[in-house]
Amino acid sequence: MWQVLVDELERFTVISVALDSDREAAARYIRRYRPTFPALIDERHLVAELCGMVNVPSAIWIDEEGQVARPTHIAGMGEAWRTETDRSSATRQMSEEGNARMHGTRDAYTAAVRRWVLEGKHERREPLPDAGDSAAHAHFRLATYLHECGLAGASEHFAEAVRLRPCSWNFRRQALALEQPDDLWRQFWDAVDATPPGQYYPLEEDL
Amino acid sequence: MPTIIYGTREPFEAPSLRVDPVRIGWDAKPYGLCRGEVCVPFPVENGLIALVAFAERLRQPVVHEGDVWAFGEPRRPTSLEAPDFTLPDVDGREHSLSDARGKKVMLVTWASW
Repeated sequence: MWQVLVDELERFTVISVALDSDREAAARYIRRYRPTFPALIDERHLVAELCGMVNVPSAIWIDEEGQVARPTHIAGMGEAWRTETDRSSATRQMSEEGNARMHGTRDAYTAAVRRWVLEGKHERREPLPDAGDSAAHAHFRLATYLHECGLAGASEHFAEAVRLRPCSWNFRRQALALEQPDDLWRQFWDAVDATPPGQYYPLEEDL
Repeated sequence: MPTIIYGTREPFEAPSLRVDPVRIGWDAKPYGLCRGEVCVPFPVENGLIALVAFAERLRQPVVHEGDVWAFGEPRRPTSLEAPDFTLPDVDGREHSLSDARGKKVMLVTWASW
């Protein structure tokens, strides 16, 4: 979906990063869509740590000199999807109205990217947020490796990562996908339902 | 034998937690360990460093389960400079953020889960 921006804009590129401990799961999508921009796979969620990201899709904008032009933010998603989604997956089976709101948010975001590239608007030159407790990331990385190797202790270290950084949906969802793939969606939606509005994605009116 | 998980490096095994600093991206110099222009005074003995003590010096968290050790990223100074990284694409080719210097970049994450 970012390909259209890359096709259209000069002196601009997208770099997509899949935060996926299961490399093949990410590779399947990349092979299907064959983007022309770099589509990278980050098995240990390094970029999330470096940029203080807690959910997907998160983005930062970087200028020609490698300086942050807009710090970490959710890339074109609001909370519209939460109330109206078919709960057997993350695919968004939504009402017409919900769908329209979601597309509106997405379109407003791509328009903002365009105006940044063409006119330099929407820049917010601030440092990236702190990654929080980087011990959380160490526990998370340890857990993914233990899981991969079938060693004991993975669940405990996932739990510790989530305890130290409860706002990270990246940790929670990755752990669920690896450890409880069959019960993934029920647990995911239960967790989302227990989350106050505006704390999964920003509220539309705050975007 | 310990397994060491350090940043995005492939986890590696070492005979002990005393390792050649090159394995974690640091070069031994007479005055300490250097990575690019950053140098940290630290003892190197027979070409090896004590990894956990070095992590404490850099204020990196260290966690372990049995013989598997994971090290957090060293804390970066607050800066407007975007942090560089290198990751593979689907064909295993490595790309760095800094390869895109001269263009505007939208760095965006997603996931299959």
